[in-house]
Amino acid sequence: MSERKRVAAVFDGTYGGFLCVVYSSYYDKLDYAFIDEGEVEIRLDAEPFYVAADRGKALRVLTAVRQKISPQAESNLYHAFLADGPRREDGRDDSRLINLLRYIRLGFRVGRAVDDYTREPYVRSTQKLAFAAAREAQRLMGFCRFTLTDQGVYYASVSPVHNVLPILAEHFRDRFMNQLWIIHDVKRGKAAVYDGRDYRVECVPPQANVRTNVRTFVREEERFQHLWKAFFEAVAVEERENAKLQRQFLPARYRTHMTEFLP
Amino acid sequence: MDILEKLQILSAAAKYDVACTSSGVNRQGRRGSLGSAAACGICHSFAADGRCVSLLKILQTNICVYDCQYCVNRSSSDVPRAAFTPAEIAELTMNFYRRNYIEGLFLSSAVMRDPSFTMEQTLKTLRLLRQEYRFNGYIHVKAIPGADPNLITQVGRLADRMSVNIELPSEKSLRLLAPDKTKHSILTPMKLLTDAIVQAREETRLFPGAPDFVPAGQSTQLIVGATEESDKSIVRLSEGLYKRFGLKRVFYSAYTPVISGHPLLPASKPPLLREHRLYQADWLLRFYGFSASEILPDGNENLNLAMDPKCAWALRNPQFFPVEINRADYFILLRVPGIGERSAQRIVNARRAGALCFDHLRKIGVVLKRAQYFITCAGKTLETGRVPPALLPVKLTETGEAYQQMNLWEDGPLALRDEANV
Ligand code: SF4
Repeated sequence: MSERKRVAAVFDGTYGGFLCVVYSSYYDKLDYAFIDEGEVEIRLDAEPFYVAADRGKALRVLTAVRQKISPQAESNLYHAFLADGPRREDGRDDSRLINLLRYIRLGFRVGRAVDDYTREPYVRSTQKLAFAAAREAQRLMGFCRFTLTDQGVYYASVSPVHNVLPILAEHFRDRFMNQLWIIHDVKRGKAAVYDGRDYRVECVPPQANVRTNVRTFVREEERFQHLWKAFFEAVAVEERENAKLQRQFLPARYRTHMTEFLP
Repeated sequence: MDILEKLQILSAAAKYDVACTSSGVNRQGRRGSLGSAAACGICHSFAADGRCVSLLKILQTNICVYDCQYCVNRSSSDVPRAAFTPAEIAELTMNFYRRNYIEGLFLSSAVMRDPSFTMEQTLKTLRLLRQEYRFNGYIHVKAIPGADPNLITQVGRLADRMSVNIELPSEKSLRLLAPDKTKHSILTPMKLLTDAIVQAREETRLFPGAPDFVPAGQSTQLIVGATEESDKSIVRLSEGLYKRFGLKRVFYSAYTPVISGHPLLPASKPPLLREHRLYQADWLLRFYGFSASEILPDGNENLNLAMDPKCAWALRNPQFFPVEINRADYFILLRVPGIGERSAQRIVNARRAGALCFDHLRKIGVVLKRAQYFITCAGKTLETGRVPPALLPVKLTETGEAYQQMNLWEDGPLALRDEANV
């Protein structure tokens, strides 16, 4: 059996890096069987091919997706990239990125109709993941809670299923333009830090317990938390109490970070 | 009285107000100010009853000079009273907003002293928020009938949405139960808002940057089940409000008994199911191109509680069916029971890539439970969809649990989710 060895794209794990994988699949004419993020990995079933991130190439792909496919496809691409898909035993991404690549390649063939190809499993799974990530981002735009620290910074901690921190940061850069804030993804050990003009995403070592550190509130903070809890309790209509419905809209995993559900 | 106590009294007094959606306006943040507005609306929490919490919904005061019989805050009722100052409301709003508890403020009020005085308090609050604090988030306020039009106009320049409550569905009922209000006193500010909104829209089209006026539009609310009006007169009234006044939303709120042994008021709440059916009918009016006379033709005074109004219409109009999924246009698809906007859109999109069969429909998430009796795919009917016409009403009747309130809520309180499952 002289089967040609398959190729695995290896990229730096960033969105720009992934766009360069898309670029490379055309210009290097490689039909990738796998896509791996981050460090080198020894595979027995495929040859690694390293794709370097390149801003120019990434932007070209993005523009092409928007213009030759559709803004919807661009949004699906971004959200599915941030999504947390099925994983292999070693914790690495299983099929999400390769499905996403196939989705984009189909898009370049059929244009905006790509989202109509719902009978293709990889189109469906990409749309599904994109939807899930977008929904979680949308939820957290409402659910994430800031507390005012004694340094005058509004601090929020989150632990989302999908990597929605960049989306949240974009949202709050606009909304909380004139206050300092930090959004800390405790699950991934990353934090978006806004300095009054723009934000940057920083790595926070997992052992650094930022949450308890910055929980040195100003007195005012406690007062408003108290008022908020009182309001939250007062607005529920007792005769219509419905914990099941509440759970459906606001799953328990979000509550550990929400003022009104904390003791 | 401290602010905590006021907040407890004045948020509890406002909680039955159903208009909680914050949608309808998109506004980006601005340098030097705080806040933005998202047209799709953002839920910030869900209360123990499963309702979305998105706005700081409070009354300015519950001290009232009027004596509307159906209201807990009527002057003759014995309840604890409180009043916020504009500064207190502004401080609460800002601090809740900065912590991302809320999307904005929903400010309503009882009539303290007189309508103009009340409206003036609202105006002061909004000035503080918009001008002092440079608050750029969402604000919905109630216009008080009878207030100086000048004040209402000034408030409108600062608010995103305004509403005047219709309260009761007919003039006669108003006379009986809310003697201080008349159809005229309610419709006057409504008309004022409508005209100012239309004018501002034209101005901003001609001169971008011209001042906004209530950019998220006007809504209203009416109480259902306190008086004897039929569903037909309510649906007709709503149709008129949408057409003549260009309202964004009409909210229906089931009457909650506040007084026992009143000669004119029912002792119990009307079935929640009625409220639910009215919201479904409202949805048909606003988005599906139905008219009030199609929803309730002559001889049908009230909505059928046992099935949604679209099913009821379909049963009365068998000549319209079956609808062929691969050919029917979007608005025809929308008339099929069980096919909503999302499904209709998916069908229209998916069939561009080739003819659809029932399997495809299921795969793209179209629920066939009710639709199966009314559609064909490439000329074929689904096996289970072949039912003698006489049996159809039975098949479409929602079974026992739909009558229970709990399940109704699980189905989705329509007023609150802004989505109707019809
Ligand atoms: S004016 Fe408003 S608050 Fe006062 S009694 Fe009538 S409905 Fe109640």
